[in-house]
Amino acid sequence: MNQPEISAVPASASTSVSASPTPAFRHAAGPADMKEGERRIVMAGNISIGIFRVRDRYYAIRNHCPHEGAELCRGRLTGTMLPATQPRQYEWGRDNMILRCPWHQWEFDLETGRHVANPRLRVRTWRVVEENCQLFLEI
Amino acid sequence: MITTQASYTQRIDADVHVRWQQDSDLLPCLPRGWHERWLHGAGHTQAGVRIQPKLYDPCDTNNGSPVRTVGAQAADDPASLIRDWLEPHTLDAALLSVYDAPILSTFGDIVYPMEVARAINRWLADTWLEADPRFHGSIVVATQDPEEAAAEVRRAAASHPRMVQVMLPAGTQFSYGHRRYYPIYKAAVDCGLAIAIHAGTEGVGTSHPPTPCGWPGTLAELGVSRSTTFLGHLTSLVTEGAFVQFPELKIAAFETGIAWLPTYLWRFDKNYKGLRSECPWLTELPSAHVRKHFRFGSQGAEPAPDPAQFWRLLRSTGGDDMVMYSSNAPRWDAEAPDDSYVLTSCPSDKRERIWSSTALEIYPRLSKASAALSPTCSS
Repeated sequence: MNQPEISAVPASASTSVSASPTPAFRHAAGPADMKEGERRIVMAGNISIGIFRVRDRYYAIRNHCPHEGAELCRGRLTGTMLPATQPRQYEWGRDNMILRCPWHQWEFDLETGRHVANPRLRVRTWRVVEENCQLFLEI
Repeated sequence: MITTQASYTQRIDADVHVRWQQDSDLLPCLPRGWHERWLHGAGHTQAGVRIQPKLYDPCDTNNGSPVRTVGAQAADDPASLIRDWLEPHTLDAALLSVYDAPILSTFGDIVYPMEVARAINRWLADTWLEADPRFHGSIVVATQDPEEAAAEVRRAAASHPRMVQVMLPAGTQFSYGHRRYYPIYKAAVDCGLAIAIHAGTEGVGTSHPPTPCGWPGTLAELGVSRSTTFLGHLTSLVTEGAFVQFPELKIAAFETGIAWLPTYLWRFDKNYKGLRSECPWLTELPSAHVRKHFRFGSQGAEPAPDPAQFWRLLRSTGGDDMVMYSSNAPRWDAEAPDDSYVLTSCPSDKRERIWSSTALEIYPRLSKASAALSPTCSS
C-alpha cells in the first residue's frame, strides 16, 4: 500500500534536476532553508500547495483534502500504524510521513499522496527540487 | 415435484426451534451427576434462582408455570413439525435449534452449562436430525470456557453431517470480536460451520442489560431495542479483526432486523477512514467485511410502509443480497412464507436468493446436504 510512486529529490541532490524528464513548468517556492519537520504553504497560480521537509528531503502536496476540502497541509504531520496482516498487530511506521487532515483525521502519505485507508483516493503531489539554495516545484 | 435441478429453488427455513417434551427426555444424554440439578434446579443456580430481572412477556406461554432452564416455546415432536410446518410450506430444509439453549452461555458457572450443552447436541442429533433429512442442526455451547466449547463444536460437528452452525446468544459479557472466542471460531471454520447469533439472553444471567443505557421494562420495549445489542457484536467482529484472523468465518444473524444496517455501515465506513490506524489489520472498508461475512434472517425485518423504500435502502449497501428466509417457527411471532414481509415484497429477481442461495453461501454443510437431496430431472 505504501509503495512510493513519486520520489522526492534529496535535499542534498541540489543539482539533480536532470534525473527526471524536463518538467513543463517550475514554480519558485522560496529559499531552501526549511528545518526538519517544518512546512511552508505556497501558492502556484491559484493552487495552494504545502511543502514539507522530512529527513533531508522535500515533499509537496496539494493543500486540499479530497474529502470535504479542508486545508490538508494545516494538519498534523505524524506516522501511523502500518497496514497489518493480523489482529492486534501494531507496528508504527512512516514517521513524519503521514499528514492527517485537520477536519476528519484522514491519513495521507506525504510521498504518494494516497489515503492510507483507501489508496485509490489520492491527493496530488509534486516533485520538489533545490537549486542554488532555492526550492522549485515541478508543476 | 417434477422439475429440473437447474431451475429448482430450494426452500430453506433458516430458523426453526425445537424442544423436548419433558425435561427427563434429556437424561440419557446427560451425565448422572447433573440429573438432579437439571430436573430440580431448573435455573441459573442449583436453587433455581434466576439472577436477572424477569420481564413480563405476555406472549410467553410458559408464564405462570415453573421456570424452566431451556426448552419453552418450540416444536417438541419431529412428526408434528413436518406435518404442521415443513409440508404446508414445502420446505426442503429447516435449520433447527433449541430456542433457549444459548442461555447456557450466561450462567455464572462453567462445568454444568457445558455438560447440558453437550447433552442437548447429542439429543438434537439423535432425536431430530436422524428423524428426517430435511432437518439440520445448530450446535450449542457454553462460551464460559472457549477451549472446551471449541472441543464440543468439533465433537458435535463430527457426530452428524447435518450440524450446520454454532448458535450463540446475542446477550453476552464480552462482544463477539473479543479474541477469547477465537477457539470457537477456529473450530467452526475448520468444521465448515457458520456462527449464528440469535437475539435473546440480553440482560440474562451474566450478560449486560438489553440496552447500553439501561433496562427496558416490557417486551414491547425490549423487542424494538434488540438490534442495538447485535450491532455491538457486528462492530466488534469487524473492527477487532475476526475476519482477518478467520477469512472463512461466516455469521448468521437472527431476529436482529436489517433495515438499520445500511445507515450504520455508512457511519462505520466514514469513521474508519479517519480512524484506520487504530485497527490497521483492516485493509478494506468495514462494509466490505460485512457484505462478505454476514447474512441476516428475514424474520423481524422492519416492515416499511412502502416496501420499495425498504429494498432501495438495503440495495444501497448490498443488504438485499444478505437476507435469507427465516421463520422463527413455531414461536408466537413466527413468519410463514406468506406472511414474510421480505418474501412477499422482494423484487422478483431476489426471491431465489432469499429462499436459497444466500443461506447456501454461508452454510457449506447445507450445500452438500442440499445437493444430495435435490430433486433430479425426472420428467
